[in-house]
Amino acid sequence: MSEDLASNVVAFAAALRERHEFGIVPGQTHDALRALELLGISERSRVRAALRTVLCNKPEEVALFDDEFETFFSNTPLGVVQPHHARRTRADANDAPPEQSEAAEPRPPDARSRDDGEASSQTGFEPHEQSLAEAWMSMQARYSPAAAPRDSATIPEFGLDAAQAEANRLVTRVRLGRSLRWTPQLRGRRFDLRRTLRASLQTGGDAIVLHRLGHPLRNPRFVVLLDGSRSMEEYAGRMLQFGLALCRRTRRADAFLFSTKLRDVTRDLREAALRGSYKLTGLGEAWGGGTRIGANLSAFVRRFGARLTKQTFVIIFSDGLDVGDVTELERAMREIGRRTAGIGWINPHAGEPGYAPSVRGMQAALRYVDVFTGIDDIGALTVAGTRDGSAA
Amino acid sequence: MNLDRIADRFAERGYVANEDFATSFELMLALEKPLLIEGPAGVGKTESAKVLADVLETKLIRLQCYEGLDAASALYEWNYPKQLLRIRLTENDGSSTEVREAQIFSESFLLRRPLLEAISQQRPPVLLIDEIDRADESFEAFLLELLGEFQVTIPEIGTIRATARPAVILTSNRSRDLSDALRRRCLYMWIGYPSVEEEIAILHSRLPGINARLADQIAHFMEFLRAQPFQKVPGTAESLDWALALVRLHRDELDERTLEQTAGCVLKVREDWELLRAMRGRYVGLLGAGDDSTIDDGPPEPDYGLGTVRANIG
Repeated sequence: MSEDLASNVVAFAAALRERHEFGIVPGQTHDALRALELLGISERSRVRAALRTVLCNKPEEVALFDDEFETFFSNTPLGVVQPHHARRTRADANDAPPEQSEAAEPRPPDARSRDDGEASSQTGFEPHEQSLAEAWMSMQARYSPAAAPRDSATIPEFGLDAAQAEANRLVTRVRLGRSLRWTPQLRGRRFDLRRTLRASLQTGGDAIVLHRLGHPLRNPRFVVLLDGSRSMEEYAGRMLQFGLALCRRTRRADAFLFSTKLRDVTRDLREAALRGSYKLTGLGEAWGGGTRIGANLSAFVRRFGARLTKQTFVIIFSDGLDVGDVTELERAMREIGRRTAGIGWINPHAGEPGYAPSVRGMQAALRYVDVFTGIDDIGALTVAGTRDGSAA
Repeated sequence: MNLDRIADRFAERGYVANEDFATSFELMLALEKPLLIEGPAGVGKTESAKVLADVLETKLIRLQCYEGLDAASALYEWNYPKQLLRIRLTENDGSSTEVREAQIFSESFLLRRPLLEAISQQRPPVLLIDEIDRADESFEAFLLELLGEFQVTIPEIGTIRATARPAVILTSNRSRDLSDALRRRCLYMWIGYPSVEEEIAILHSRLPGINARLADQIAHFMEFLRAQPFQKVPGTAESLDWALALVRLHRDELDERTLEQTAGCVLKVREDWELLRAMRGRYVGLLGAGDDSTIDDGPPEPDYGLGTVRANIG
């Protein structure tokens, strides 16, 4: 294999890693080279398919990969060194200010889908919704210039410990019935032959100490839907803290942020927690714009519907101020309620004296909510678990 | 096996494989790495493994994942009655505990479950680990050793290496995010909904006798359906069911009445039916007029803008 090709592939993998945060490990780059050795590089589409198979790990990465492939290997034959990219070493990229790597992001997803008429699910909205969203955005821009979406959010460190304690309590307290796994239990239903037999070796084959298996209480999965709109600004810090704490506590949690658009922020939150720099970037229209709870919830059901299982407890963190279609909100709530173990709604205003959920959207949604609580009483959500858990 | 042969051999068995698909499968076989396939329900993920086994003329070993699946039912288990019997029989022969333990924890007392079965075949089988996202997170950890090294370590015996490396296919419906550790050990492929042309090809390949115009109408109507916000978006499996139903009912074209009678093949939730009924004005153009009216070749360009949800990603 020519050295040029090899260095191109390595540089390409590095570009994917640095510009689009692909988790490519050296073994994958090696596989990529082996793959090209096997398939040859005569056909561009095959090379792309091969590299995509080897270098992508997740569905989100597929579209990013195709874009990057087109720009990286534009016009030049694959085996020829590309002066621009070959120069781009790891050190270069690390020196570059973070803004630059953000600017290097491809087109925003909505621009893409409008360009080549593909993948309405990229945006999460159907065509007619799209135009509604645009109309709303432009209206917003006209009436309140300050309501233009911002791109990044900072999670305050003050109070994070308290939020963590709350999340921990939630994770350990909420129990949704029994799991189907078998674990050693003193008074389990099933006889544990393996352990009993092991123990019997000590007593000459007589099973004196009996071991049993039982179903442990089920750890629920959590889905948190965080309302990132302007109206929630005052409470955004505590809301993000809650999301961060929950995602840090358990792998069985997914967090989504929505404003005009919906975005999966689970990985962002986990990474922020790992790095210890509590800042979320590249949020786009999922942050600081107007609220369209109904549209976002139905986008959620459509795109991430598989996440809604009977083991899932959904927590919505929102003030319920919806400017969108109430029937859409109602339909989405009904669907979420039908498919999951329960819905908890944290409304920052709920704790205020004299508050009544009079907003139209809130009223429509409340019918499907199992636990409705204020921001200072997140612990109340743990009662969700007693529904099935106590019976077990 | 080269690319064209894979695509051809899949086609012979009624599975329409495009270039991306064939490339991924070829790499899986050549690099001897597991292939993780994700995509919406009913696009032929599981089917691809079955067809592959048929193409390679080898055994398909299938592990259907479910909540609570553990190593004892996926990897191996000890044959307890046999062990107990042996303990009884050797009770008075005076051998030490160590010797007796070594005896009853040897390979002849091992029950092989699908995963262990798959790596102890003489001829490399196809191992299908179906709907891995349904198993608990802790189960993924069991798989890592198998997928990375093609070996299984049993504490009492030691490490069992694969006699022949199986072709491993994992499928996921994304009901939860799989761990990075698992993803890194696999090649990755996304199967989306087929394009109209691909769908027509699939219909013809699965139902050789199908009327060309009917296949055309079905494919276009499915494209329309997949762009709608249904709760259960119909996949290729649904369009095949539907086509089969229409062929059995001797319909050579899709008209409104037929649609009403057979919509249950594609839409399986009551709310979706209602939604479809409410959208009547938008799909009438895709249907035949019923009797003898003819439609000029190709139905009108659908006007729902953004196109299909073919790349239903993310």
